[in-house]
Amino acid sequence: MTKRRAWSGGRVAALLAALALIAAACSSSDDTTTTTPPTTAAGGTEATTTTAGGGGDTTTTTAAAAPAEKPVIVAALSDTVTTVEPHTFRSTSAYAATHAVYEPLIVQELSEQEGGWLLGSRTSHVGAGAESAEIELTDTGMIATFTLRPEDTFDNGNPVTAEDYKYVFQRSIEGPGYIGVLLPFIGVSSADQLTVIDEYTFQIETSVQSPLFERFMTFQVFGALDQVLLADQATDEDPWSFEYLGDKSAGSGPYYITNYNPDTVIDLAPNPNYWDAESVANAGVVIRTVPDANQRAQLVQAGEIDVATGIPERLLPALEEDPNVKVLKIPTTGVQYMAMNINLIPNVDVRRAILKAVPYDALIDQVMFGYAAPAQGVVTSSMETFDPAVGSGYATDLDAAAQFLADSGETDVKLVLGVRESRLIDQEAAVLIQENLRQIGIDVEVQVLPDADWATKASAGELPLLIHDWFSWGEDPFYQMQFLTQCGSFVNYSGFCDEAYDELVDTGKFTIDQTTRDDVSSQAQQIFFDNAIWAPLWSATRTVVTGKCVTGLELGYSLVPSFRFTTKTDDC
Amino acid sequence: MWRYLGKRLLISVATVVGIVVIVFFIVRVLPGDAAIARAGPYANEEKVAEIRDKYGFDDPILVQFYNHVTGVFTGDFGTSIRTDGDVFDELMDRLPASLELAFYSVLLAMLIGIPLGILAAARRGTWIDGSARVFAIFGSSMALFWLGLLLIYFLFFRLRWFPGPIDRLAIGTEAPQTITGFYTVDAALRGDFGLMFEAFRYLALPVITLGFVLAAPILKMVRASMIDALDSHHVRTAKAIGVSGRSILFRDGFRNALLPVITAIGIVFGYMLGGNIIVEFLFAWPGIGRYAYSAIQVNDLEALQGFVIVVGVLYVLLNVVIDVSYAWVDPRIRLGKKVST
Repeated sequence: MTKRRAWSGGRVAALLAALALIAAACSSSDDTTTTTPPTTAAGGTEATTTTAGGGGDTTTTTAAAAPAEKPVIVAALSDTVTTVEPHTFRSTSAYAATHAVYEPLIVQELSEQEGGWLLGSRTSHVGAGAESAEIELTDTGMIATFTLRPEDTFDNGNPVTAEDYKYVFQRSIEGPGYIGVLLPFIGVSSADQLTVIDEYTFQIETSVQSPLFERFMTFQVFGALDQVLLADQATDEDPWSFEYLGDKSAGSGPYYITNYNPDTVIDLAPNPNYWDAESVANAGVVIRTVPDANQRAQLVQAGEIDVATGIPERLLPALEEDPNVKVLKIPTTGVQYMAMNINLIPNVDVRRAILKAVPYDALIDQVMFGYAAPAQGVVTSSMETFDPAVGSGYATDLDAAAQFLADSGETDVKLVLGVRESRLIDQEAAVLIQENLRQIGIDVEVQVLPDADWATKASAGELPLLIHDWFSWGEDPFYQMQFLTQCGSFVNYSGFCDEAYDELVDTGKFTIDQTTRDDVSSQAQQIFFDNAIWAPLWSATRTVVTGKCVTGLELGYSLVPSFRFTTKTDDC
Repeated sequence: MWRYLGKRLLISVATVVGIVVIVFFIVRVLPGDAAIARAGPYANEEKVAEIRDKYGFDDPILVQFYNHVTGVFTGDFGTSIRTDGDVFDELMDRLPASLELAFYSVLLAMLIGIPLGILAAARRGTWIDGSARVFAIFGSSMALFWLGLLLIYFLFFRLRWFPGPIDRLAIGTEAPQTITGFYTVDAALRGDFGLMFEAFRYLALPVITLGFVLAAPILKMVRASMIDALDSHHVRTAKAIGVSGRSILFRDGFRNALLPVITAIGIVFGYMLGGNIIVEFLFAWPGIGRYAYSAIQVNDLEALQGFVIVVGVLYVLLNVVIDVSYAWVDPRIRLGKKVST
């Protein structure tokens, strides 16, 4: 048995204390931002930040510099909230809200970036709901033991216990939400693997050695749920209280939901019972739905809102010139790709011709305005285990494309390229691709389809070519390969199915040995390239536009903004 | 009069039944499988089947139709596949926002269109008439979204005369307690005139956008009807016997032009109820138009059906009101006499 890692909340305590100091020093004393959410955190003349570390609590006291009133942060994210239920939500706005409300056992360690925002580490995690944890490797898997904070409570005052964390995992496994699909990645499939050692000690025993285990433990979908409250709300038809949580919160995180109106607004107020309530740098968060991206941009420029996401790339160069806003840019591991359906385009040389004819650089320049990097494969160029030797093959070469088409023996190739009505950049990309394919003699009809129609046709394998995008939770290459390209996966739109490839992916998924992961990933990438399954178009840079005075915005694995340390300064 | 009203109501009921039936079949012709759209990327066939079962998509079409019809007539519009909420409740929550926007937009359109139309007819062939016709052409040819974008850019973003397109009230302002659902009216009824003023400020840009465009057809109708009325024999006679110009214009001219004008206003208001999706989207206005827009994107059939039925019923009610106002304006109608044209 090997002891792998034991850590506590000490590092985050130091960061929180530093941020509290920065926020206290920079905040305006006459900031009178609005009245909703109702909670206004008055700082007075002394603010105290208390964070519990492994060896005991760390207390930082800032005297005199504390702000009289913390600001309310207003964010307009890119989509509409339809539910705030933590195991069935389907939007980034809901992701942001649930992230603020449900506290997982551990979180990403944050580091401050230029411009005052905070980036979550992909390798280093620190305690959150758990003040310490220990993960041991066994011959067959892992045993993770989490020690909870005895002082931790839900927003209604109920104590957070190991039973609450067991409840959330059990709910994920047995409930009707989609979170259960994540658990096989960490080898958890049964409630028998979840043990309440005592009131404040919770243990998970996995059946595999998963490199994703720690990352998954940071997801808010595994944040504590108040099982005492939810048991009261349960019915025979809804034993896990999904309906109740559709518009209410029952978490132990830094915020709770005070107002939720589908399609319009979520108001979050600081949770006064949060174990580290003093670290919350604002007086609440308002997440507004502003459906038109141009208006989101103008609202943040005008200072009416503080944070906006989903701003089209074509607007970003002008926004970068605007002294009233900051544009945060974060390279992602996400992928935008054109899938080629191997059942409808069975000739591999035709697919190779298409792969070589796609204008990769032009797409990044003209469609993404430079806010993207070459994707170069199903494992994207910025993703762990990426093999540049394979990735470099995804480059435009019209002569090679023409040669592949000639080798294929096919003439008069006519194909349909399906794109979604709601995705303008897909439509723009399709036009450029269409033009290049025309140059080598492939006639492409671009079909702009209503989203539901596109999804139906894509799932049914009716589209020879389609443009789709994907961002993997946890940003793991094997997770990405499984969902997008393994046999039988729901979103394997190319219909690709290769036993050897699947075996490599399965091997990589459940090994923590980096050399093995690199090796099997490289082999899988090569098979994928040789079969010319996709033209990987680009890996987008995630951008968030904030007011010039906004600091402390967090961006973690999801790259959806989080707001616990977000505040506004008056000396910017 | 009562017989006339009874007949109109009977026709209205038949129309509503027709709407309920037709909407059911039209919505099902839409391409795409709502269950797949709802299931999302983490789904599998089992999950999609579960969704189909939950929402009754697998039921035979006649069973679905029966459930739809019985549901609608008992106030059950079904469950939204997008929000999991009760469609009727969700529509009723959003309807006041749309009605308030429509009401003030039509009011503004009338305030622009009717006087301009009267003036243009009274000063036919002058520069006033010419200007009114240019305005009408401009209003008719202006795309709503384009005008909305321009107004937002100049009046909000550049000049800061109006608040940004974010909702019905400023962020952080509590909505007035609901009495009518119209924030302006509810705030006034509560005596909170500051809140009423704020509600008007947030209404201003979308109302100007819609009012400007909708004023054009009203103006054109008023002008044309007024010209007809002013050219009529009785007006000529009135002029000959020395009736004052103002009396001719308003009593003989405008009153006789009212029927087609009422029709035009009714059509414009009806259009507003179902057609302000773009404006609600652009101004982040939380009405039923935006709800319908979101529903269309994911094939939320129940929500779409509910939207169309609500708009249809409102349209029918509006027509009843118009018919009644015809009878009020023209005694020949309420007395059941034939109107000679």
